[in-house]
Amino acid sequence: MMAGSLIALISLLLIFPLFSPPGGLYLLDLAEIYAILAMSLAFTVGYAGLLSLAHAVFFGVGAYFTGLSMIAGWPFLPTFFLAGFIASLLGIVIGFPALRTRGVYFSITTLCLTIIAEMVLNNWESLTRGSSGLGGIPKPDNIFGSTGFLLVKINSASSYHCLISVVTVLTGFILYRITHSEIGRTMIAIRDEKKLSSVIGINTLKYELINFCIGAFFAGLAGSLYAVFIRYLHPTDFGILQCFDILAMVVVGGANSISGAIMGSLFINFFPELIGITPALKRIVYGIVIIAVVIFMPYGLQGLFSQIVNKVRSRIGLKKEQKRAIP
Amino acid sequence: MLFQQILNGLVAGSIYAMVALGLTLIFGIMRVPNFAHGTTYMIGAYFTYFIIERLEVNLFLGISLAFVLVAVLGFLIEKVVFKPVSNRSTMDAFIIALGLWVVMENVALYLWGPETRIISGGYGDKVIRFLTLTITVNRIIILVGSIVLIFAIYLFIKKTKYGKAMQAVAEDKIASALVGISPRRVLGFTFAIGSGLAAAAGGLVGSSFSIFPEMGGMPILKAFCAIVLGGMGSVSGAIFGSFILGLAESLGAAYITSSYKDAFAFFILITVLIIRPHGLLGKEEEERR
Repeated sequence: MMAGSLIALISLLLIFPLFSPPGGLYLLDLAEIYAILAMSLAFTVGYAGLLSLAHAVFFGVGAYFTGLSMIAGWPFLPTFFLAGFIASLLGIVIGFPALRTRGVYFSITTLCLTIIAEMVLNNWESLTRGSSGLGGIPKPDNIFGSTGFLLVKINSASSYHCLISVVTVLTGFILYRITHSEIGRTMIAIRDEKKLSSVIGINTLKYELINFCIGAFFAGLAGSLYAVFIRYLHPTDFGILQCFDILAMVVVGGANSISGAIMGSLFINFFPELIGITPALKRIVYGIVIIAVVIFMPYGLQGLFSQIVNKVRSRIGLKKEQKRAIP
Repeated sequence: MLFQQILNGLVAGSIYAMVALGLTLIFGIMRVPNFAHGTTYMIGAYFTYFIIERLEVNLFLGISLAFVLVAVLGFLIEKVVFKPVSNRSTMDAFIIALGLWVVMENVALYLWGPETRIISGGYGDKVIRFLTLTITVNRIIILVGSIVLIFAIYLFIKKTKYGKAMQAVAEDKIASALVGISPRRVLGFTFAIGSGLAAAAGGLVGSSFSIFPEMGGMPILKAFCAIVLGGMGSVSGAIFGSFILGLAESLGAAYITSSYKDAFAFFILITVLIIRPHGLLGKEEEERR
């Protein structure tokens, strides 16, 4: 399953640019950045059972950190990793108190943090330039700095596409490996039976914090890519509505799975363009899609996809794939 | 100055109380904070606006009509989107509520545009001075109107048969079904009353302040904050919490800083949730999945 979806994803990312209509590549790159963000949220929602509404904050911190330090003349690559690192530090700072709350209350606590963060971005004008937005972020001309070692220039559409695709595929792979490691199984155990897990000696807070931190790290990386890709940052891009959009991708992707998040973000980003709706109607459609998916299709696109795969397999005589314990 | 701030705080508190009352009633039964409730408040304000513009009735009739219309809308919302997930995890209902919030806000934005409007039929800028206090007549209407409505609903919940049924269902769904109360019907009814109250709050606010599609976002979060302060699902707690929050905000804005006025409520909310995850006066209960 893993190898199959990885090959499918890589070939999509390689073949699509060859046939894409003008503007399609831009949309795909944006969808990939959101896919990284959605995967980080799906990792936290699906494997820790925590519906975090603070991922837009981590996204924003990564983006603003990258934007500001690139304007200050830093090279891209160290900034990129530092952005993820700072986001995950913030994940600890936020997660430690917020994880005392459970379920819906956790969501509300993180929602309030997002609102406060948006206010800070708007009001701290000396740093973020407030509501006029942070523009003038340079292109990452030389991702390793100007020391002459490995001159990789990121200035054309295709090199942006390569950079973003590599990060997307690696994020998916790393998160997949984590969820199928001992740590991932421990997280699933805590998600399903918190009391029981703590009884058998698992430090539940520690694992939830690790999960939250990893999620924040990748959200920060996505923010960093967003900053160099869009090159203009505005506080509303990192507020409640952004939280809602990421949530839409995860819910539509379904089953809170990593691969579902990729499908969900591709769907949510391409769908408005395909049926040609105006931006004004976009969020109405997102909202209706979310409600409909929760009611009628609780496992989302991922569930639909595995149903089809299983049907095809049984039709051509292959054995039905053993049903894994749904992560 | 101090008394002026207290007066402003009471006006804000009475608005929060009207929204919080509906929210806490619905929460008591559904066990999910219905975050779409703030958009009901916004829709109530727009309905009042259009009823007064088109039918040329006075403010009170406009608000009453909006109350009825939005109550029907709330009833339908419960039947169409919340009923199908009533037996699933609370997280599903919460996600649906968030989705509904975005849908309704953007539908309003699409239909009525982003510009702000003011409901006519109020008393404009007429001001009453009493000693050192100044207050517009419109704000007195908000204060008096909401206190009357809150008191009426309070009596309704505590004294009538329907109100008692609502309390019983909030206490124990299965036991109340055993004695012949249909939890589903009571929930639909509660949605209707809560939505109507929020609509009335919207109408009252719109006669004095401006109305716009995003106007529901802050009040719903503040109302939720008030509920957490007063104890989840408790009716009188929600009312007290609202007034305390209104006063705290108004005094905080006057004596601490006004640019982060809206952040006070969220700091209070986060602190309470972290120290007492089930609310200041709420009792701990097992998470339902």
